[in-house]
Amino acid sequence: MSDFKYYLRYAFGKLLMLIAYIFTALTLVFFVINLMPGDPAYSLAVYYMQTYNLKFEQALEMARAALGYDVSKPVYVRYLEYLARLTRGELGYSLYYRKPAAEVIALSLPWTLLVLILATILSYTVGTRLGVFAAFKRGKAADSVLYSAAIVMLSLPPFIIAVIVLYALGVNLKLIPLGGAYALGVKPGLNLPFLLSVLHYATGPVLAQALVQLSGWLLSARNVSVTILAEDFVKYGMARGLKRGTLTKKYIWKPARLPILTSLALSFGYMLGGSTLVESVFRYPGIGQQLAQALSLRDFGLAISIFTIMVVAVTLASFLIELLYPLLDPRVKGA
Amino acid sequence: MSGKNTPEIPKTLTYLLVAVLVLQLVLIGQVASLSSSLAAVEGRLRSVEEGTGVVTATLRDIGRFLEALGTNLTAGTAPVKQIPKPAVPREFRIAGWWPWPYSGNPYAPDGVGVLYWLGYEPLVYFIPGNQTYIPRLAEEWKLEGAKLTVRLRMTTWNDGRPVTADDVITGIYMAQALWSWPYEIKNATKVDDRTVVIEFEEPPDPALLASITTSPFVSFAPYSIYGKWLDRAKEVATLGRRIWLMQIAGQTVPEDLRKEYNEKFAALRDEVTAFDPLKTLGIVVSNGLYYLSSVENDKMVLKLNKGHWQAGTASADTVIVYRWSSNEAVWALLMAGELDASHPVTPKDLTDQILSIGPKMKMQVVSDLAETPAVVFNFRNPLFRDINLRKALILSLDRSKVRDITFWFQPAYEYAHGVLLSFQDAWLSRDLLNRLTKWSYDRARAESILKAAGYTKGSDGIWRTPDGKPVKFTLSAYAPYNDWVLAAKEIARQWKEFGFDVEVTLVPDGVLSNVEQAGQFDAIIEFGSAWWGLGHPYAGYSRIYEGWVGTISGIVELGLNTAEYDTPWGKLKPLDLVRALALEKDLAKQKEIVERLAYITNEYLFYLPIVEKGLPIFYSESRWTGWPAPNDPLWTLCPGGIERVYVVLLGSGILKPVSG
Repeated sequence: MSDFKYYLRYAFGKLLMLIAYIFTALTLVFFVINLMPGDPAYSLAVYYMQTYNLKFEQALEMARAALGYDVSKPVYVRYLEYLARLTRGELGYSLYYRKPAAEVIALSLPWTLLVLILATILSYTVGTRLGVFAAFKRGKAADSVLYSAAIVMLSLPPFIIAVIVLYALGVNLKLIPLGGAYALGVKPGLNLPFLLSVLHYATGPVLAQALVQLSGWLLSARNVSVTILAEDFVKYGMARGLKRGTLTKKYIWKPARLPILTSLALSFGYMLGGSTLVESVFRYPGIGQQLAQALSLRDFGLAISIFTIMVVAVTLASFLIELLYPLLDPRVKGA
Repeated sequence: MSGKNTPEIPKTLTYLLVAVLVLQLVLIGQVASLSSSLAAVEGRLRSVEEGTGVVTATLRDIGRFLEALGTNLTAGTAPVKQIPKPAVPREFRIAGWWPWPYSGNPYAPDGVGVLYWLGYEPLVYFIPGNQTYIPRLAEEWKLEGAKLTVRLRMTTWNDGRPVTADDVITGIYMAQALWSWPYEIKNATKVDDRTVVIEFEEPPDPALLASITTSPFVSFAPYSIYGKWLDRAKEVATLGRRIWLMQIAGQTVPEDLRKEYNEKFAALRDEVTAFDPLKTLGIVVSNGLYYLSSVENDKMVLKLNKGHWQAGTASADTVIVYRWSSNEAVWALLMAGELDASHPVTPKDLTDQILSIGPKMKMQVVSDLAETPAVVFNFRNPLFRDINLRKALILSLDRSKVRDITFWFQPAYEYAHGVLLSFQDAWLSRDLLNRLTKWSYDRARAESILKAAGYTKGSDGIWRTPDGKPVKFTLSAYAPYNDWVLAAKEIARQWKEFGFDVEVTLVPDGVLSNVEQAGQFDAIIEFGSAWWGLGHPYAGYSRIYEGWVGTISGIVELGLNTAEYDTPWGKLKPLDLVRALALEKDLAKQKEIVERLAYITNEYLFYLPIVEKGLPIFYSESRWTGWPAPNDPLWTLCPGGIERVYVVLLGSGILKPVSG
């Protein structure tokens, strides 16, 4: 069988696994959300109770009526309806916003994607380079400093890093805006002031997300590079007097990038999960904030829809990387 | 090979990459700033252009003046002309919340957010501090029995239409139809364009009257937009009221009536809540001092409603609201001087940091009209039905330590009478206070009470009840409220030290009301006496003896509110007193009733108050001056809607932009 046919078989197999992963993950998400304690009407009832000075029972009745939430539908019925909707390409319905969840998500998803893509590029590029550098400097002061810094950064939750970035760079040094998506007075649209303002205001969330992931890339790249540096072919290359740049590019970086690349999808997923708190620190209008609010209000339709997007995005990213892998690694191609 | 084979290219590349990326970010930032500055310069140039126009016009005026002067000099008189002063920024900046995406539909489940008070007028504002009313949409009103006649102000919606009786009537029926409230209103009729008669089922008690007149729901439904649903709303409201009246009378509601109501209600609800004014009309029509000019996820811009009756005296043209996504985001804005006023809860060190920005940053603490943290007992747990244990619990707790880690700027409690400390002198006489037991921290006294009641301390240091059971219970706190969590941990620590086996459990986000409603707690941190909306002790006692606290604690279920308690005035039932207080109009008699309730609440310890919640309001005098004095009763309007205070201060021109 030709290489191409083998690749097709490989891709098809991965596609089947992708579908299985997505189905399993979405089922888990659905049941976890739906079995969460809490009635969507309760939060609204407390709000009505306090705003209109009502007894709780009256407020609860008002809230249930306002949401149109049918508490009597069993969870398996809702699950089947959910699957049916997915096959039609529909995400769900937001109880609170009284509109399709896709409409609600469409407003916030692009902002999160912008931050995550920029943060991924920044953290991957800088982190892996620093990791390779640290590997060459292993045992020396530079390696110790980078390694320790990475460990410390990795142990800090994204929320803490976000707060540090906001206060240090925003409040004290006034280097970045204090939050928001773009400056007041800028007209949204395909115009330069708006686009530049968007990038400017994304600096804070991008830095916060990137700093967390950068340490992860640094450590992965360092550890993998250290292993490769000990290989005979590298020592042979050094003995042959190959230039250091050539050595890194052709002998170290090629094998090192593969295991690191597979972590890209996980990293993306991790950042997506961390976006909830990072966005609330920076008042950034992303999907993380939307999810936090949906969960707090028990807007199950919206929460499940957002999780659906996240699950599909991360598994798709993983799938694409798996498709790229044989093209990058001749050993996998051969097998 | 030696370790000196350090690759230069990767090192150089790394440094170069880092430098390029950082430079890019800074450059983008600078260009963006420059771009924004250019936009601002463009705006300024436009202002200069306008200013030049003003100057030209002024010069023309001066010319005419001189001409007139010349003429008048010959006639012996000299008219004086005012030269216009340059404009100062009239932008007020605060933080707030709104749902996103935003529809501007007040009937959507999440409502209109911060626009609630800034954009919509209630009939009146009620100042709890001095128990007075500030007329808002209602210029005059008269209550005669069950009829409330309201004369509306001459004012307009932001689309220019006048506010009329039709609008108020539409608001009332839409609320009844969609919220099943207030059903106590029998009907609302128009006398003329500016007069509405609201007829109640029976003469309204002060609480009901206050909640109806101080809520902006009457302004939510301009007739020009929501009038198309008015007939259906009246129909649904009528059906709903019939059912409600039957339920009150203890009658069985016929199934066909209920079915008809459910169908018509659901159809109306789905249609009205799906209505998106912002998308459909491009405008959110409101009658408040400010209207929505633009809204994004992170900021909202409101502009002055030029047809509002206070437009002529209003001192701010624009209100900018930054999204309150988290306390951390608001603290950052305050510290950077981006807000003119805000009210985030802050720990002491952060408060000091914010105030150290400069002498113009001030903090005013106002009562939030509620006690919190307070410990609410679940009387279904027999442990708490013993008054001796409750006495020991309060005496063995140093409430000032709990105060220190929560509302450290508030005075410590000595009593537990249910009247907010800041209103104690207004409602309770010295004579009454002298009769009340002071529950100051006294472990020795707590021990002696327990021993006298038959409690013993085991070898493990844990107190045991007279029948040998350990005094063991959980103290729950709502996890998202970190002040409640801190309070619970400190209280549990003190009680553990004393010898009670207390464990803190956290209630997850979003399920507090579920847990409380189901009675799934032993003791829980909650709001105690709360006077929201009314600023009157009735609200607090109603909450304890028949409201939320009464329900979740089992006070109502177990009949503890209808039992008789020994008092210096004989045996009294708390619920009877609360009901009497609701109907009593004479202030002196109200005080008598309040004193009796205070006695029962203090001596029988139905809950354990710790501190009166204070609302710290940070305000800056850098851009705005004229903030009220610390003891001004207007501050008491803050709880439940601080935006009302801004509306009063800005609308009347009390708050003025700092010139220069």
